Amino acid sequence: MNYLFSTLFQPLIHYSLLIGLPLLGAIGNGLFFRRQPDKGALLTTRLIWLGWGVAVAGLLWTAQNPAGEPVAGLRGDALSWVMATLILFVSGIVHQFSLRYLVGDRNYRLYFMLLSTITSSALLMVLADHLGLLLAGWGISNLLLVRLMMHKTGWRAAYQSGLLALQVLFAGFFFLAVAFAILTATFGTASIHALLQADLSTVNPNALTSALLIISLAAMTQSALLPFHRWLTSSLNSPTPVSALMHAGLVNGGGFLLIRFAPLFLAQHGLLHVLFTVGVITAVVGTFWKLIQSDVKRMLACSTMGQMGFMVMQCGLGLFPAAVAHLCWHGLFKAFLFLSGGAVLQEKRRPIDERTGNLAVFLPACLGGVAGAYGFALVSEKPFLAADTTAVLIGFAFIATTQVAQTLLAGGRLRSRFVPAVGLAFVAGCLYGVSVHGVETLFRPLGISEPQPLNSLHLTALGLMGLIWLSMNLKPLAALQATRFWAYLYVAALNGSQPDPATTTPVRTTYQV
Amino acid sequence: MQVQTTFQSIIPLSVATGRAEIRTKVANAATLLSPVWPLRTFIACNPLQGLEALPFEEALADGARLFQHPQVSPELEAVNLQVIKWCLAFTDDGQATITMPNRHKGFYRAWKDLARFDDQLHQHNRTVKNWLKALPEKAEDALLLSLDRLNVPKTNHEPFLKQTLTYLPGWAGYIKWRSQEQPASYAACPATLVDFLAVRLAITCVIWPEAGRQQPESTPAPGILSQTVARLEKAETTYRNALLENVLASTHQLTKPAARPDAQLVFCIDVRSEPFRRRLEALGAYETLGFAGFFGLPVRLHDFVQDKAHDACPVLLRPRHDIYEKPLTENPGQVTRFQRGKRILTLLKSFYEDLKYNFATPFALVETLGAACGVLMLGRTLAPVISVNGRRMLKETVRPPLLTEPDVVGAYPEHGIAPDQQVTYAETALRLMGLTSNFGKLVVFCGHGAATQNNPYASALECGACGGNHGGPNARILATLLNTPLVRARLAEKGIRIPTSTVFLAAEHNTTTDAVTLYETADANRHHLPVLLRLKRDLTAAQAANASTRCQAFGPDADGCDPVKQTLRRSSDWAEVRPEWGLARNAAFIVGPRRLTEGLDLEGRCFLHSYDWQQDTDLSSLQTILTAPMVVAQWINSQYLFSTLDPVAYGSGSKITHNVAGKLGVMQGNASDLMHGLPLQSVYRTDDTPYHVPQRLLTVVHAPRHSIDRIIQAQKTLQTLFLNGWVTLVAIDPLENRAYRLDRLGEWQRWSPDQGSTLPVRDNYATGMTNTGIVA
Repeated sequence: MNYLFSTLFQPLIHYSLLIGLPLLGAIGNGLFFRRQPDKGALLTTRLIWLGWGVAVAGLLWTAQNPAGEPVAGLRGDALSWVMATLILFVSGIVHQFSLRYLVGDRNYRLYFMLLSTITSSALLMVLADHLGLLLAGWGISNLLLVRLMMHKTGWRAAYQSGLLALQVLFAGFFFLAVAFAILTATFGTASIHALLQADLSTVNPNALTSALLIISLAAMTQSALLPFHRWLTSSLNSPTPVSALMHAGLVNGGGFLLIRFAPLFLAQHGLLHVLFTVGVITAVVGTFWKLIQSDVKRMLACSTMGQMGFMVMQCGLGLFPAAVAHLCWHGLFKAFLFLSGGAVLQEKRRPIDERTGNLAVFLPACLGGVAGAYGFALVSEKPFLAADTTAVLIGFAFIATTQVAQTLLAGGRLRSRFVPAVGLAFVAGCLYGVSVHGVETLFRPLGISEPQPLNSLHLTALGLMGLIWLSMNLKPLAALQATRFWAYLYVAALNGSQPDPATTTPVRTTYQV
Repeated sequence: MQVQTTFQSIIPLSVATGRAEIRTKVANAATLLSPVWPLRTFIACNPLQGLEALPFEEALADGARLFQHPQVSPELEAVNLQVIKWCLAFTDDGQATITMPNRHKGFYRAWKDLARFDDQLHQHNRTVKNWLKALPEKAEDALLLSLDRLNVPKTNHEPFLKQTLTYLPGWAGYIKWRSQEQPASYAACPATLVDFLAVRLAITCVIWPEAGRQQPESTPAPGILSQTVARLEKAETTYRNALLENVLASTHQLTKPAARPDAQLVFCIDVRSEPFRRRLEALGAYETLGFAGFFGLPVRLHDFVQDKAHDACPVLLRPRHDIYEKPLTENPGQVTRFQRGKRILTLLKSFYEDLKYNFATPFALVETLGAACGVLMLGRTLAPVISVNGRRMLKETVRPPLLTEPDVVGAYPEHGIAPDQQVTYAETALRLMGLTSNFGKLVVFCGHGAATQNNPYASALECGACGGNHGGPNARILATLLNTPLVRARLAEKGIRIPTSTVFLAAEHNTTTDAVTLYETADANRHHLPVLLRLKRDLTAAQAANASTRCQAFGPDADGCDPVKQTLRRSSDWAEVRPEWGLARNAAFIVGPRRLTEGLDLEGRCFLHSYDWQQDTDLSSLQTILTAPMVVAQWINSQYLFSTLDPVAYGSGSKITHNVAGKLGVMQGNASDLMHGLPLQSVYRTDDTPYHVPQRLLTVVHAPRHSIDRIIQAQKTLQTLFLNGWVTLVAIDPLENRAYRLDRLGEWQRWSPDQGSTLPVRDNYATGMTNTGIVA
């Protein structure tokens, strides 16, 4: 038995299984199921689920055993296994969903082949230790993504969406190639493991800084951060499951990249500030755009933009494991929302004017927020009051749990609901803490969580977000909405969030099934 | 200021007259458009409704020119894109958290307030900006101003507006629906077609100033059109011959003596009822009837569980009674528990909403709920049925189920139906369905509904007669009325004697799974328990039998497993794009006694309306049937027909790239016209093979020809439909037991089985084509 386990966990076997299973499915589907695309797709789907099992085993293994030396240019550390588990899970869901969703589609078989291959290449990307392999995985995945976006080949708008994505993502690929070339030249090695271990005092600091800056640019293109967001907000001509895959998967590539090179970024305070600023701006803009959208898919796309901004912001705070947690949980959340997008007609929401509260409710709710933030800090083992960047996360926990308390308080008598509200906010904070902490624990061995000293930039950003949130909850927004400034802002946001005109279908008959 | 002068010059002496005139012109132009219902209450409708006054072939050609092959220019696309942007923002029915400002002022005014800031429109050009700022306050004035600026001569206003409306038939059609059908529901953000055109033409003035020049009209290749018509006629003739031959062969069944059945079941005329009825009849002493699924009750239902109200009647009618559901239980504690559970569910939902549709809070929300979403996805994808049941059970743990019933008799006069009217509705219904004697032990009114997941087109599968809703409540109301002693007594006075041993029951047929839910009553249990038990068993057996046919219809992808489970899976699976085939393959509307078609396998392609010509001495029943249910059947028929003929121009395209817009419709991908019509998956087996057989409705009426003539002469609608070739009418004349077809000149042509149709179909079609000037 022991022998069996140690054989199974031979890294190379493990890695080849992971990358190989989806690829095997794609090849098998291509060669043997020309006439029975449904059987071929079913086989591939099963292989993906099998692969997921392998990834889960790897994840459990890595929780107890430190990652070893790279083998054949691959190395599975905590980040690799978390990402691999996520990729295979989402891919499994998307495969299984598409089995029915695409029945009767002209390109059924090709679709599944692409889907399995992209899974494989994304796994190569996250398992790569050699910079060249990472770059290859990155490039292939993006190319396949573009092809999947163009699924309806006769539809001009879908073709244009793919083309737009190709342009932006190719720029990202180019940035990455340049950055990797600089890194290889500077460190004298192409092994990520080796260069993360290297003594930074021996390398040319300017070369390193420029390499990391270029990597950040690549991350920004991939994660659709401003000003590279347009490919994502114009990507909705893709079949729904492809959108789910995109928003739970490849969009996160930027975050993955930053986290992969986190130890290098942590030594660059200036760069962290740049990431933080770009992240905050995208988070603010993305969230606002999301709130004004009238179609479900563009709303989800803008929301992803905002969430990506938040993720990069967390990176900028030096809290990379928190960013991983965000990446994973947001991925699952967004995939779920895309796949269930057909049900929004049945869901009836309260209009926003009915939920704006008042100070008498808001102030007691803030006490709930304090309890919630405390619960969050307690469970996720963070200092409740600290003068470093964890305070920003605590701040967001405060805002969210205040909201929870306020919702409960607004619906009934203040006196009888105050204690339950504070209790509930505390529980919500704890749940939030559990969710984040679970991921953070896995990453402890990597040592990539280094809260930075708090400065005015952080405080300004937190203040700005808090202020907008306040105005949504108290009445000021209603007053603001009557002004010309609001009209200007609304139109600017509406226009900013429009897809690229070439990727739309203004005349119905230019759409092709 | 030049703008101002032109503006002054085109206003006639009386500004009011000018405005009224342009409103009329818009209204006239809009007759071309079919209204587009929001998806929440999907109503089938002929996309060429505005062209029904023309012969079918001509309408097809006009439709092809207007909708299928418009001249596409970059300028047109640019204008459309801006119009789509504003239509979506303005008409939004609950998607956006922060909505377009000033919507209460109406579409045009709200747009005008924002237009000056729209740099996609004015491109920072000062002159244009000023022009936009100076636009008049009234939409009518703006429209006149734009028409003038585009150099559209006054005589050409109407054709130009007509042309303009066809550029975005979905959005324009939706606004037409909104202003016509439901102005009161949208008082907070009113939009009319005058608004729409005022916005559209103002945008056109800026982006496409040359739009007013007469566009060269594209004409579709006549070859394709004549092929289409030939294809339709071939399918229609083949089908008609086979059907009539079978039906005529069954006329001898009409004279069989009637024994008292154990149960009579009245189903909706919907084509999906027929296969189920056939299977049920084979299992016991059951008689089935067909009747419009709202059971003749124009009611507005107030749901107790959902706190919502809906019109449960065909859109041709306006609801005349408010009916409230009330809890069935005597135990007030149960209601309290239910209400408490409901409050908890609402609260849970508002936690989610307040965190998700807010600022700065969604970040924490997604991190907290991510894992749960993963589990939910896994459940829904790998075990859809368990997942749906689990969700329901979870919900019922919080909010225990509460049985309710429509409060018909108790609540009058605040709401409900007055006693006199109760009798009228009961009598009309019975007479219309021809059920006035020989009542069975049980009479079951069976409404229907569908059960699907994650499906924007869910309401397209519901009962169309109930306005895209479940039909169960209507059935319950009628059953309650007919069980009321007072109503029965009054009916007896009018000659309809219902035996005291007859009990009326209601049921609901789930068309996705074929499960039938009986709303049992103490009376039925007390008097007819054995019959009831047998009926329940037979309903389950009929479900199983129908499920296997259903699975065959789905084709090879249905694997060998249990058909009942298979259909249940389709109904519960969030990834399923074809939960059921709906009314696909519908072909004929048969008006007559069930005996006429009993035993025939009609393949779920026929609307069956029960009718006994001998009881209908004043022809009022037949007139109602032909002008109401048949017209609705024709809407449905043409919706399926055109969605199949052109899934892009008349249908809504593939579901896989659908994007639900404004909670009112779907767009394709990033942005498009509002895609009205049925999705590809509803009428096509694969991207390339249709499942629905496109053919125009065949109406078969079992009544003397001269009676039918009298009705057609009085009804303009029927003349339009029959004489313009939208519907083919065949009479099975009971006096001769022969079939006659009404030709396009209004003459009856005898149909005989050996020749097929005696009418030389080709010639007729050729004349039609010559008339239109499109000679193949």
